[in-house]
Amino acid sequence: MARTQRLKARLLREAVEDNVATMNGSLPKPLRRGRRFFGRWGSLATLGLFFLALAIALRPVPGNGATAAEPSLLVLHKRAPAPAPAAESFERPQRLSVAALDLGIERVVIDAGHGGSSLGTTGALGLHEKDVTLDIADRLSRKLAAQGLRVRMTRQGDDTLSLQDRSNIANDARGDLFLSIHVNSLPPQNRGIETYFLGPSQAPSADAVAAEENRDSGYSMADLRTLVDMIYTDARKEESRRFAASVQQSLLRDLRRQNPSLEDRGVKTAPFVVLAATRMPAILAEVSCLSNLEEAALLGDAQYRQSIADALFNGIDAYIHQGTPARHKETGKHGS
Amino acid sequence: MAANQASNVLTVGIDLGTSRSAISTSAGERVVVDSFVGWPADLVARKILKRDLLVGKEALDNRTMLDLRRPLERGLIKEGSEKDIEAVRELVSHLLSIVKKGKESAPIRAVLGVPAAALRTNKQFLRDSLKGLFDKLIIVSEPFAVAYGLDALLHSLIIDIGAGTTDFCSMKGRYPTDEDQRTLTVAGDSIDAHLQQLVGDRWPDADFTVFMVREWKEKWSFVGDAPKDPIVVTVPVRGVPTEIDITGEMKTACESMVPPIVETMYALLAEVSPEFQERVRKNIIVAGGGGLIRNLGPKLQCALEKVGGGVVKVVEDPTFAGSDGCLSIAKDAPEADWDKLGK
Repeated sequence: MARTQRLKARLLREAVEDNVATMNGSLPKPLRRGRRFFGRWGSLATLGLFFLALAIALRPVPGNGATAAEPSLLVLHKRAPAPAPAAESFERPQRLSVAALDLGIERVVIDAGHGGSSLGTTGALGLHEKDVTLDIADRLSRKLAAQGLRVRMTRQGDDTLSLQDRSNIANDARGDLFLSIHVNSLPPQNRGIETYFLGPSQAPSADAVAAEENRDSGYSMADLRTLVDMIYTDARKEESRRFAASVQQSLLRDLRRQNPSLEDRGVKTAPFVVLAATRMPAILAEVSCLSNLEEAALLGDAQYRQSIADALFNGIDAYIHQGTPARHKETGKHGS
Repeated sequence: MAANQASNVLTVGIDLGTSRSAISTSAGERVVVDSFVGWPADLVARKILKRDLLVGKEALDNRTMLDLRRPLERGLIKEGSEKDIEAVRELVSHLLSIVKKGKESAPIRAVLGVPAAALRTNKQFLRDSLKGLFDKLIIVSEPFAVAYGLDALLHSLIIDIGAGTTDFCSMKGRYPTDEDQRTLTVAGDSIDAHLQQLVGDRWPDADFTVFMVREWKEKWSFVGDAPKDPIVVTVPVRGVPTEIDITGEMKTACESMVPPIVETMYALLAEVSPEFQERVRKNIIVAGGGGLIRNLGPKLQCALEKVGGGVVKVVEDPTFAGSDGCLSIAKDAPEADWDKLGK
């Protein structure tokens, strides 16, 4: 009991200190990694700072030969606390109703994930993600083209493309929709389908998936600000969400006929670089899970890959026809 | 721990929520209101309502006549909107006016809970916005307040599921740092949005609002096995009141929050020192409105089996767990600590 009271008293003191620090505009406590780092290097850094201060203090001032000790030390030791960073103030942007613009959908860009030297994930049965995604993309593209849509594939063979290359291809083709096809790698007992659109991630697993797929993006740290801006302020978000929901729903509904235990891992947001740099509604579908033995076996079957392509087609078709039947510019050819 | 306040001081704990705000006081009062504030939209509305301001359920019920504000977003004031700042002040003033009856001149010391991921700039903005309403104010992370109120300060994991955010706090016997806490935006509001979408997809001609969806969720939310009786609601379909069965949609919408919660729970558990992980797994506490989702506790407990098993408890009174925790902090804070906070 007394131990609990002591603990409570200490936590209360820390809570109040945190409030006082907030009011004074101090920085929050560093994360553990930072503390470890400073723990290890802190004493050395302090020593270094001391000698630096000494060197500055004893530096002769040109002209009068006197030292500039006082002002220099003042700079180092009597630095006034930084003012609290001003709360960013902005007008919240109003959501744009894309339906009001009555935009048509004519060109679809299909991106087969990975390729060339980027194998993607490899299943227990030796199947590579890059081969599975290309096969499905090819089947889907043919089906879309047969329905009168103009299709552009980011790769048609075993080519190595950066994520930047892929989004450039999509933008240059003036695609109306962008679908990136991937196959997941999860802990072996997990399986299922998930579809992503661009946004900050909502769960650690989404970060992990995004980090995996963002490898070899072609972007560098210099592009960080631009990418982060795109992730947070993207006006295509609502359309991408609806597109993702339509594809996810269709994949689940159609594939569960052959694979009843398929898990619905949901529609999620994550900061995928390939989605950030494209200019049209864009999604990334993890259509299966190569790390799961049963799904790996299914992916080895051409019929199942065709079913995935069909389900993706149905998802795209449903999205195009949501609400506004006239969205497909060549309505005469498009019937399903 | 002894209370150190002067006898005329009113000590309060406030859980300022996106959807509901609760207050608990040292005088034993507990009040909860919907976090809505509305001003009559025009002269006619003012004449009908005979009021300049409505708060809580009253505001919600008369929303068609009001400039209605839900001033908190993800548990924080919507910065940049003067009207929302004013609305938060009115909301807090309203809560205080209810509990201050007969003690109007009493100085108020308050502890206010905010989401775990609130930045210092957010807290300072909130403090500035509420200036003048309290004599002294301490702002703490909401799940920490819950842990404090339940004496679960060591080897526990708090999951506080609100409307705007789901906050996690791994209690390690210290004031939680950023690394001990997580905030997900998957919470009550995201269930509402998902449910609205699913019902709209299935019955495109049905006419319903997010307020109706929220009521359905509050009455019938569940995960896991469906209830014995189907969830049937009445909505106008092309103007004709029609009964629709939303059991499947309710299950899908509510269960959509389970995977991210489980993943975050695993992530925080993995960061606990190995020798204490089992103790933490056996001491997971769910608070907030999300605790009222049927079967959520057992569902999360079931997920723990993958990592060695554990125990998930749902607090008995999720509505007031946050404000009661804040009140405990306020009552325990010694005079010297209040003094450090200035006026």
